[in-house]
Amino acid sequence: MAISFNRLKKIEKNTVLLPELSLTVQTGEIIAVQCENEYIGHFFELLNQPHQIKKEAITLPEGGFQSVYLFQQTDGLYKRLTVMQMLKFWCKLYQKQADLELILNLCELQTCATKKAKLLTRSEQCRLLFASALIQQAAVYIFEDPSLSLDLQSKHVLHNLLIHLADRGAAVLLFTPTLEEAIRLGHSVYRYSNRGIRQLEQDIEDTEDTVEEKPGEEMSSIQVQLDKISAKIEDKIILFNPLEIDYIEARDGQTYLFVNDEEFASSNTIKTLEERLEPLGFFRCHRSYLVNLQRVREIIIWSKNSYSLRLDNPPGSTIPLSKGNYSKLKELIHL
Amino acid sequence: MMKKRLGRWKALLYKDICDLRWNGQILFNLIGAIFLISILAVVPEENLSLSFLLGFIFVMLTMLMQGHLMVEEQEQRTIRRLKQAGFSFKEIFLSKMLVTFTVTIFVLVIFSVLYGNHFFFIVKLFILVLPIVAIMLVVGTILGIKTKNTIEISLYGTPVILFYFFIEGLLMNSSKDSMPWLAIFPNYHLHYGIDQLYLNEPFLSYLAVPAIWMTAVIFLFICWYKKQKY
Repeated sequence: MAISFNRLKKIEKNTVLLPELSLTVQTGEIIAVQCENEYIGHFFELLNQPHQIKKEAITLPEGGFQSVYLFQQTDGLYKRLTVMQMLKFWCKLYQKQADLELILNLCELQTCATKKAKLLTRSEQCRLLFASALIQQAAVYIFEDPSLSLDLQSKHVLHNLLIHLADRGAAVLLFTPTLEEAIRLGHSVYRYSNRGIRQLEQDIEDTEDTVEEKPGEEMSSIQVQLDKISAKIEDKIILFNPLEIDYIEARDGQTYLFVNDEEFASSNTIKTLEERLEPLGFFRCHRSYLVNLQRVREIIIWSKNSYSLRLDNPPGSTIPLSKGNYSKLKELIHL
Repeated sequence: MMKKRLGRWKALLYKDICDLRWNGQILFNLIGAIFLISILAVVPEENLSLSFLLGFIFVMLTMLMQGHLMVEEQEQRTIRRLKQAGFSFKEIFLSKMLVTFTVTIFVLVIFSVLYGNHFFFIVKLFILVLPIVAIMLVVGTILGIKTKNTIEISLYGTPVILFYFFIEGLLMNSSKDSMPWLAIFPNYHLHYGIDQLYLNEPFLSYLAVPAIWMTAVIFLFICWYKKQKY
């Protein structure tokens, strides 16, 4: 065990700022936690003020908080220092000997080694902050929404970096508000909400089990045989043409339809929708996702075990594609 | 443990030195101070006292530079990492003070070479200005802690600068006996202490008031600092 949170929570007056968090991250493990931005903010706020954390609520690796690497969106760089000077500074700060050429190579920063930090793009700046993770050589790495506003190149770097850190025996814990990123980056995915923390795979299995226990309800929806897919907003029921839908996501036991960057809750389960929409060109790319294949523009291969689908809808959404379903998709599109 | 701490200090000094070379605001003040004292050494101005020139170095360079160095850690959002790496806030501002003090000494060396006439003059001058340099370092640190960015440093530093030069102006335009109340300010003692140095007369009595000011300022700063939450 590298780090463990034991009923860590923060309550201020009558407000629960941070719901109970009980989680253990083992060495070599990458755990991704999907939760609201608000909780992520409070969690990192708490980590920055360790004196506010009860001793029994957290078990740290040897060396305490100094053995924990924190990547925060609010972290900055010394704007007048070049990339190389920043790396040298971190080497001196953490008293570590590091192969800077290798780090530049891993973070794909070779072309900007002599560039000042203020002249780097947002993605390059993030890659430089990732480089500090390789220098610090901590036992535990905690990331705050690391893929936020990153370009594709930097997402690849991040993906490889996390694998590199885990291979080196570190425990990696990352928090992100998007389920897609959590699935793409983590070995295990958890959802953290006001109801506490739950592992995602079990969550979905439970939902599907619940669905199987109620065949009567399922039958009634099948019997209707509508061409339209319904979604409810307040007291209105909206009917969508199936081909309007970009993709469908199952989250917290609820199914959501994504249409033109808008999200609509559907009363149907993802399994029912899969059965109804499969003949219309929809594909179950992940346990939690059903995608309209007509919308798929790109298949992104992050590694031999990690894939995503990029859609050609206005926000250019990316959704996860699981390893097993990648083979099915290849067959389906004769790849 | 000590070795590790020393290594971290070296890291911070390395970073500050790399950063200083391209810090426009500090470079402007540094080059401005060197330029001014060099020009006035070549073209002497009868009415301009040396304590005025020194005052220019202390407020425009020492105080503002210390403030800038302090506030930039907050402004650039880099202080969190330093704290997590094991630096206390006290260590951070002390390392900044060391950098600022070194730069001030560098300019004072140039000043002494241009205006001094022997080695002991330089040594005595350093002793004479030390309390005021310490006061300015503390004032710069307070500005750096209480402000949010470099613009605010200049904004809130301006009253201190104006007050300093107001006292200097009074000193330059009055005789020693016409405004005896000015003796409560350290500037007075620097002004007349330099005269003593030129005359090769004892100057240590001129250190007493600045030293009291320095002690009071440091004491108040420590009391205030202990009440702050970092």
